[in-house]
Amino acid sequence: MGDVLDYIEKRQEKIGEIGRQINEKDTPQKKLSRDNNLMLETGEYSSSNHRMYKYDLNFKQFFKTISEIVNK
Amino acid sequence: MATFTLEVSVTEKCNLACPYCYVANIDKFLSIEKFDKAFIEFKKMVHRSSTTGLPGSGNQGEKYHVSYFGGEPLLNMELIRHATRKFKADPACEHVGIISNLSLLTEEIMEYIEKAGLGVSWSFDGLSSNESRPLVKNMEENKGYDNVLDMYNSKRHLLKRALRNERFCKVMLFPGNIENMTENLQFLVEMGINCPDFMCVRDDIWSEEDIRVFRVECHRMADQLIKYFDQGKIIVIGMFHLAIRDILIGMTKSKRPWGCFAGTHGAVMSVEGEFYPCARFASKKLLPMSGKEYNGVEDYDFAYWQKQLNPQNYSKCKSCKLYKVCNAGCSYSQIRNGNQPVDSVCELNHIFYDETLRIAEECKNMPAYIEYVKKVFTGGWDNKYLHKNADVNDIKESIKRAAEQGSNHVLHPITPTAMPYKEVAVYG
Repeated sequence: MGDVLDYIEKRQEKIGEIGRQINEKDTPQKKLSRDNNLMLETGEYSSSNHRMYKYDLNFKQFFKTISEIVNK
Repeated sequence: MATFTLEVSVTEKCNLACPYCYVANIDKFLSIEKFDKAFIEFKKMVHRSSTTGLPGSGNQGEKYHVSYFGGEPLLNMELIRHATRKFKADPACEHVGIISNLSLLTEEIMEYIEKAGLGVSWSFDGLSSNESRPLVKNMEENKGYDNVLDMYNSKRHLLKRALRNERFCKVMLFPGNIENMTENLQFLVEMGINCPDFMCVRDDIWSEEDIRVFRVECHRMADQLIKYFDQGKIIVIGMFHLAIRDILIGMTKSKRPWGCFAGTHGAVMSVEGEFYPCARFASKKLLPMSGKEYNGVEDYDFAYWQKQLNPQNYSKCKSCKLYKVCNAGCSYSQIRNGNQPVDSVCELNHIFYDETLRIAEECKNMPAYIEYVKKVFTGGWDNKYLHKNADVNDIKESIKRAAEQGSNHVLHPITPTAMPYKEVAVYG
């Protein structure tokens, strides 16, 4: 059983490893627009929750509106 | 629950050179021999995904549906004819379709599509097509044409037959074609296409300036949509339609546990007859789903990837206003980004969700909009999205509760009957 678990650990390509492989293989050679915009620098993760704009996103009001419509 | 999705990449060759496409445009074709071997493996994979996946996170049972993909799939009709015979003979296969730019339609191909009963999904960028979808030069199939719109003009009678009663096309939005989104919408509506599926490329190709332009243009397109509703026209724009459906299901039940089919309950069969989560992984030969066993253990663990690619699990999203409704972006891009949604795509999502709410507020008394919303619920508008067993009254009740509680609404677990929409494929 231990062998099998070791094997799973070894064999399963974990998310970080796949991400690393993508970054290694994803070369910007295809199209100019992709070259200009697509590629992050390797390892430069974008993970902030900063937004460029303020959004209202008033779901409560939305559901009131939808509720009125559905019950018309 | 979702049905397993198989995309068969019948070729990597295409007669168009769209700048946002991720498939290398090379002369590779899936052969009949490779397909036949892969078909056997595919059946095992569907079974494996349904028996080893997480409950509620993927497909259950042996059913599946198929899309031919590319490249441009019409360049390999020999394989399509052969594969369709196999799929149609298999009771587990629910649907076979082609995702195509349709510029290479011929009378012979059209007759075959009709006879075989294949579905057609048209990739068409509308007004910007000549710029966003340039012809590949010196290609035999393009001879005699200056641009792709000329090709369509010469085949209008065939296009009408291909689209049947559906007035739908897939329009990819990328930084190169957002400035004329509204004019493009008007162009498509004048063509009679009342369901233009505008959808952003969900990849890290958007600079801050692109996002600024997108925000302005998205607002302008929403204004045009409001005018259509005011005129009594029901126009269904993909990204707003997707948002309204995701809000309704997300806030009343729970958002689905996958972003797209890739690697969770779907796969692409590559031109080599190998399996990968989607065409993007296939183009880099990453994350093969070979089905091989080592010491009795499968090499692709559906449960592991269903957990990793579940948009409910992304830590970045948990403090986001859209957490309960948004299904994030492209899994490939996100894995590349440390398995977190990409900021620029999050910004785009906020923009079109915000516009969706504004449209509802401004159109709530317009009869065309009222009819549209009601049809979203009853499935009368697009019954392909409504689960056969959906309990509409239950959904209505959930909406009422959500309206009372807003974003504090407690999510309920998805059950097969409560899940009102079938999976909607997300491209880009």
